[in-house]
Amino acid sequence: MFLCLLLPDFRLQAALRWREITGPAAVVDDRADLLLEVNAAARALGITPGQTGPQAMARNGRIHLLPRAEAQEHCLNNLLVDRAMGLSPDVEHTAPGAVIADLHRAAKTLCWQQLADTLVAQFRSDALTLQVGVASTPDLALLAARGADPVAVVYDPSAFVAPLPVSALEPSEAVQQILAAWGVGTVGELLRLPRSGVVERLGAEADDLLRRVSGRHRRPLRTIRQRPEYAEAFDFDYEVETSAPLLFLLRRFLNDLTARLREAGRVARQMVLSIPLDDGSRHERTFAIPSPTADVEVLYRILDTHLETLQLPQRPTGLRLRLEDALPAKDQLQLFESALRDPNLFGETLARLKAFLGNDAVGVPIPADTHEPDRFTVKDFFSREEGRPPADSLSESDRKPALRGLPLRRCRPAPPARVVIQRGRPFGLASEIATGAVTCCAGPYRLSGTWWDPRGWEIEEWDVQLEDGAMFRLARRGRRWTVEGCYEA
Amino acid sequence: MSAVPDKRGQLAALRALVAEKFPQTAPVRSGRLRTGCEALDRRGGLLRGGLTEVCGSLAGGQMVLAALLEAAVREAFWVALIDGADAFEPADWPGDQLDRLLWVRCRETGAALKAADILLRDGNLPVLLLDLQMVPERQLHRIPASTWHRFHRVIENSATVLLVLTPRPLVEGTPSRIAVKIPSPWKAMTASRRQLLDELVAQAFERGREDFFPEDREAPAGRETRTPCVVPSGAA
Amino acid sequence: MKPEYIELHARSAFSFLRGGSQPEDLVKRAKDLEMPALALCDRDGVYGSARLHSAAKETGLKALVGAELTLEDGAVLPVLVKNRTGYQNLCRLITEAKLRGTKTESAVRWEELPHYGDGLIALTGDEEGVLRDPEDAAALDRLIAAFGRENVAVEIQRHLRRGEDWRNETLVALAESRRLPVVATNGVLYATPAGRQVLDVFTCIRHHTHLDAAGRLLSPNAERHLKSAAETKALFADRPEAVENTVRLAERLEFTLENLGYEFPKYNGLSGEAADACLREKVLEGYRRRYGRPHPRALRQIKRELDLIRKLGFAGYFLIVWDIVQYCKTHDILVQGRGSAANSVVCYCLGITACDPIAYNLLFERFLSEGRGNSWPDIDLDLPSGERREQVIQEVYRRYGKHGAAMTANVITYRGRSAMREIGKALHLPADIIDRFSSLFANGDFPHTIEFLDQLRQAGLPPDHPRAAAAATLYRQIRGLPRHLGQHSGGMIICQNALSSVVPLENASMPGRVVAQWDKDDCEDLGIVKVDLLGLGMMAAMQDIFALCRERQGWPAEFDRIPKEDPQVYTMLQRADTIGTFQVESRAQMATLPRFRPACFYDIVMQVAIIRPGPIQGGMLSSLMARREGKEKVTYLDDRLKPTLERTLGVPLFQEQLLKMAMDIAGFSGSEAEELRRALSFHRSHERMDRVCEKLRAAMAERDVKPEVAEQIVKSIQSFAVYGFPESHAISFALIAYASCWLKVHRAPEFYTALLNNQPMGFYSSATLIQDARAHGVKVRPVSVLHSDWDCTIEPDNAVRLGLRMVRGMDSAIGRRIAAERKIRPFTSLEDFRRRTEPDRPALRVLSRIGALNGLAGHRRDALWKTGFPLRSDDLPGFHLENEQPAPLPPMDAFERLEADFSGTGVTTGRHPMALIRAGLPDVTRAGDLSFVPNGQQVRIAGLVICRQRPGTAKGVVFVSLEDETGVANAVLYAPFFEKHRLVVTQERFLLIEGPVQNERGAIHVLARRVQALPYEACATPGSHDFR
Repeated sequence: MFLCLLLPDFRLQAALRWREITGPAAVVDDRADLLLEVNAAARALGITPGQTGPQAMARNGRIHLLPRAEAQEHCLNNLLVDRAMGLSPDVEHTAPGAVIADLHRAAKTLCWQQLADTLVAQFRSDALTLQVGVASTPDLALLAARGADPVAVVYDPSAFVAPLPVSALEPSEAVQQILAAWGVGTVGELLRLPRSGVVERLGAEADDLLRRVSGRHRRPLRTIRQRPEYAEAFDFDYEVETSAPLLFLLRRFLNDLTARLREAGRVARQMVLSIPLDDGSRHERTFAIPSPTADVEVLYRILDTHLETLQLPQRPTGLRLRLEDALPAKDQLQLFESALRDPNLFGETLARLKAFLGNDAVGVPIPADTHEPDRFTVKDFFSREEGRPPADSLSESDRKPALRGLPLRRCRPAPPARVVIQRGRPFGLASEIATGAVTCCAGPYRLSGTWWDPRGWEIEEWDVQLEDGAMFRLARRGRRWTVEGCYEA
Repeated sequence: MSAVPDKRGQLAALRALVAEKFPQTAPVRSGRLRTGCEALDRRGGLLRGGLTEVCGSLAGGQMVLAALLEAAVREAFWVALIDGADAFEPADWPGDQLDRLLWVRCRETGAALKAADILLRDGNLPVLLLDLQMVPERQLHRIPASTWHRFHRVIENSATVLLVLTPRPLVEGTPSRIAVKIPSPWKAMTASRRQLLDELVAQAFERGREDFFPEDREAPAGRETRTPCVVPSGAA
Repeated sequence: MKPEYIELHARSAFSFLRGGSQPEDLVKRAKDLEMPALALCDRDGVYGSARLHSAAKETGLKALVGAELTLEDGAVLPVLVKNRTGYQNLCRLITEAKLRGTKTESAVRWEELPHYGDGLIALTGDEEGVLRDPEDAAALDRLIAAFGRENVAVEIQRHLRRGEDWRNETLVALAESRRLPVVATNGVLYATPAGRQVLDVFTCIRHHTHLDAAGRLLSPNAERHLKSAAETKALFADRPEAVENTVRLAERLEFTLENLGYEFPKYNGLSGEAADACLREKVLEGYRRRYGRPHPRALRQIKRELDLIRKLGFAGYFLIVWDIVQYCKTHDILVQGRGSAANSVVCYCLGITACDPIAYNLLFERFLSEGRGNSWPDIDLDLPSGERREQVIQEVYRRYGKHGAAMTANVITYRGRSAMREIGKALHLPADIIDRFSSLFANGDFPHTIEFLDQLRQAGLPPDHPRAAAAATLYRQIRGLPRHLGQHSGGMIICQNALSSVVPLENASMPGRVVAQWDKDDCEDLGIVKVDLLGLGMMAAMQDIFALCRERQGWPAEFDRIPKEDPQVYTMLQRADTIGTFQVESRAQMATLPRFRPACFYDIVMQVAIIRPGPIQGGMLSSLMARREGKEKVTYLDDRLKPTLERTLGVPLFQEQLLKMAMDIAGFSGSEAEELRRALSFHRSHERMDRVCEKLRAAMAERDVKPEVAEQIVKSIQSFAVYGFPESHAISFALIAYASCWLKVHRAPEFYTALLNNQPMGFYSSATLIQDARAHGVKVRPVSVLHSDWDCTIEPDNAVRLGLRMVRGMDSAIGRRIAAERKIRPFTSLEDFRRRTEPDRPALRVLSRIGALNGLAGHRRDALWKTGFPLRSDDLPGFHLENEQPAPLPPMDAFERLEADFSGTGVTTGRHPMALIRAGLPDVTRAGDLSFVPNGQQVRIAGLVICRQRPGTAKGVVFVSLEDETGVANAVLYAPFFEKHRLVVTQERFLLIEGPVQNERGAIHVLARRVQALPYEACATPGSHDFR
């Protein structure tokens, strides 16, 4: 027998996952603004898939229109496969939200109904609605699951298929249209037509459709071959107070994982460390390996440096480590770019610096794409290519001219100043870092932006030189003057 | 577990190959780093394996950084800037130069010195610039003299260039000290970087040691030299 | 006062997304700043110059002409026009680049500059300019070589940005090295600092990004606005000569659009007296034909008109239009002039117009008067829409050449929905809010019923959203700004020599069309003559009706042969039985017809003019109605107005009456009166309007008109001058309207057949037309391959046979092949049909589904089954013997047939969808039964929404028409009610509406108190026409 696990209204269930929504809801295709699936409450209000968002709103203003949640769909699919694999090694991921397990190796004494009920209950505890179909062929199992409430076990295939609507067979759009035009609504009606006549008119697809509703045709499953994943996990059943037990475990994980990597002739290019915490949250960190390796010591040192200064807000309840692998040759190309003698050591050094200076205090500065002064980001040294604005994003009128003049040394934060103005220009300056009469000045330079929301800003800047030759940048925001920085002192 | 040493061996071989094919990426083993700025290169370049104190005006100090970053872009190496007062302004530097910079932002001197220590010990970056120019005087006072001695010890057998930018002579017993300034800073506000580097005025004081600068023919051994290398090459 | 600074480099919003202000706003700002002149340099064109010129003329500003040219290397070169040669060169230069480029991209070649450089002065531009690199001496030398040293100036700008000092110093040094003058400009992009926001949004649109992501693409500050001389002098205190140079340079720019040098083409090369004589001859010829016997009044008027035409030198123009009309007549293209030309007996005699102005006492001055200066009379020609109109347009191109004729532009502006869409995108508002706004306010904006912030709130953006305020400000600023240039539907301009030296021409998006950079108002303001070749669906339909009549040996075969004043036509009009007719078929028209009760042709003229914004706003409609019904006494504001207003019962309705009123009561001359009308309808200038109104008041006071009466007269003149309909225009339309009604009454089969063949047109869908035809006893038969042609046809028993063109997705080649083969020999079997016509499978399927193969097969599904398999060419005839057997499929039931009809053709000749669900709606009143319901009684009506209409006139009232198997029921939704149920009303296809019946002398509607969706998903529905 075959058993099909099916999550009805799969995209809706995925979108609703982790949400607490009561009342009418629908999942909407963003591009077309068409309803894909609706829940029972919405259906009761006359809202059906295929309507547009505004049409649904017209029927009921309180309907929740949710966008598709593809990441959550992915998780749900994984969950289904996972559960099915607990029943049989031969599992097919038939469609999004549907898997079929081949149970012919299962014990003959098994009660299908009971098994299915257990599964349904298991999913219900995860707030998911599951339908289960059991039948003698994979296709019938799927059909049974589609119509199940919530469990359907098919003992007599022909009696089961006759009242099914043909749409349950998911024919192609074209075939569905033709069948509709023929007035063929149920599988039984389809089966009553002369088979050769149908195939002559509808082609190979019809042949396939007809085979699927026969109880005798048992197609082979396209079983899933698990993709190798270099991951280890452990859940604590005791309280962990220090980092020592974590490090102890991590070393064991790494020993195992690197051995597997070496067997496969691969190296780790990235580690993902994830620590589930007491409150259900998790601490997660990804480490790029500057020079990909399968060396336990190198990988261990990275984790060690991280844990050395790590302060967790909650007690850890588990530990997960995943290595992302790569072929050795490809990633060593990084060496050509790198004049670093020991990239992995340097990675550790940077981690140490960050540990006591802060994450955004060490790295490569990238000026932000804005006219607003003192806006920049600090990128991790090893991922500095990301985040740089493409050169062509600068406008025609604002292609950054070759930099001229002295670079500013900025005061962070900028100290307030008193500025005496004469004939519209700064004449004297008093502040904690500089005081004196202004002998030269340039400006004003005006800058403003983000006018479209409350964060709008407006600045007037002046460059001044004092009697002693020191040079400063002053700025006025409203009536407030500050010394932004110093060019020369 | 024999794979690891093997891999190390392969790595070394690969590096040798890289050094041969791409000479500019190989660490330069000569005693001096040439910046391409004439005023700084007058004595053959910046000292490797030793500490150089750069004191003088703020603008002059900035130009030393500018010279180093130009060289870093040209020769594909990285410069670490340990920014003692978190004063570096990324917006005033070209993108290709920022790409060659490791910016270490510090809010107080102690942290800056510790960061410098860590980076020196790491030894991966060939040029370190510890910027103390904007640091308040009272913090400078508190730097123990032993710090510089320790730094010196760490790098003396390496090729690392360590520059300490200070507002006034501060590093006791420094083997090399350069005073830099820009002749007319107000005019400099519209000049190009190239112009500014050409106009940079530098004066170098060095305590010569033969084993320290083997190729430096100009530096007589055994006594302190006072070599004023002024005169900008462009129009003064 | 000696001018101190003149802005020489400004862009308007006509630089399309590269400028933020209307030319008028620049003029207004320049005037506030007391600037004596302003040069507009729009990007790659003189798009905004005409409007700058007109606005500047009002305020006394000198509008200098220039343009920014995109060069092949991407540099942007501003040039200023010195003299007419320069202007012509500029136009040609732009035309060359535009005609070889695409619609959005064009580039001038460096090598062309010397050739067209004469008369132009080149500036060096801003950071995008020729001296993008201020040290690029070579670029400057190339400019000097192209324009001559004395015609190049180095431009410096100061926008208070870091780095520009060096740039300017370098530019000045470069200028000195080449001994060139330096001029200061501000590179103006908007009139006032507030315009920067608009520009930033435009920048986002141009780069397909939004404000949060645009970063340094956005302006760094708001300095590129128009600045005063004082401000500019302060800004360039270090370079006073650069500011002074602007004045010196401006003095050399003697050209303005005042002396454009436009010349209307000559007919057959005739000019002066020869043209006058030729015109006289043609007119007299026409006079004899039109009047038959001597008609002294007409002759007098002809003489008067010809004298004026001679005096104004317009003979050539009339001859050219006559020539176009002749072309149409000799090529069997229905043509009728309309607009103010119908006031002219000359036009009548030349056959340009169809109504006799003498008979209707029309006012010639509305058409042509001496005081109109260089502005040309306005002749619009209505042509059948579609291919026949295109044929005429191409003929004009053929005669005058690609550089000699062009369509006028149509400036597409940001309207409610498009403005909000772009603003929403720029502000990075959630897409669903923008979408909801679009579908909620799909039909333009109605600021009089709902505030903008309220609209936003309905779309899901709360008023306290951090960006709601910005959205509102931007909406105010951006609405009405030009978005892109389209082509006007029919306005053509032609020129004696090359039109491309008068206005730059560019390719329209439609192949084979060239469009000018100015719209029709601009052309009119500058005295460029325009001939409107407009397409009317009804003209095309009528031409087809006449052809059908001829085919069936019936009559009339010509427009002029339609009998006048037919009583049956008026009976039909009074019943508001006007679906499918011209002009009087809209919901609002139908609602007034039973009250207005037209009984003669002139009533139709009034009827056509009634449903326009003007009179209703002025409260005149109700007054006119009441007077017609005898409920109100006919009075006149002043007895002197009686002769003019008598025919409209004392209520002014037409523009001609306005002119006449001014002439009668204020003693205005004909040309003064026309000047008054033009000033009032010139929506861009309130000042001009105030001035003429003052003049009017003074004149009336002089002639002892009581002040309160005078004020009332001014007010009524003002209110409908803007919207009022010209009487001549109404007459032209009424002629067509009457003809269409006559044809509907007397030639119903031909009428419906032609309408169906010319869809889409008018207010109603094919489905509604067919329902209407059946209500009038015309049988409509379904598409059948045994009987149908490509077009709908009339069968010998007067039934309409739907054509294959009605079949959705039917390839016209297959359709025409089927019709042709059938004419050769009838089809004998499905197989015979398939072999001879080779339809593809989708065609076979749809033909089967709609029953078009019935007759060759037992029923629709039988046909589906029997044509469902591929037919190979090498199969022997009779190979498919199984076809002899009936198919194993059941026949379709009524619902299924309806569904198939609607999805396959959009119409059904079977029962109406409502009939099929009637049994389930026991308490719903049928449309046909509404007239038996007493006034005020509550009813429920239900049906297919065939029309939702919101006339701009009626304070936001929405009319919804629901069709059922007995006819059309109308509901009225007041604005607040509509706003509350907007989604239901605009989104649902079947509605159920409840409310009291209001029956006013046969005009029946239901005042909606409740509205809900009628779930009718089971049936497919024909599309309803929304808010047309």
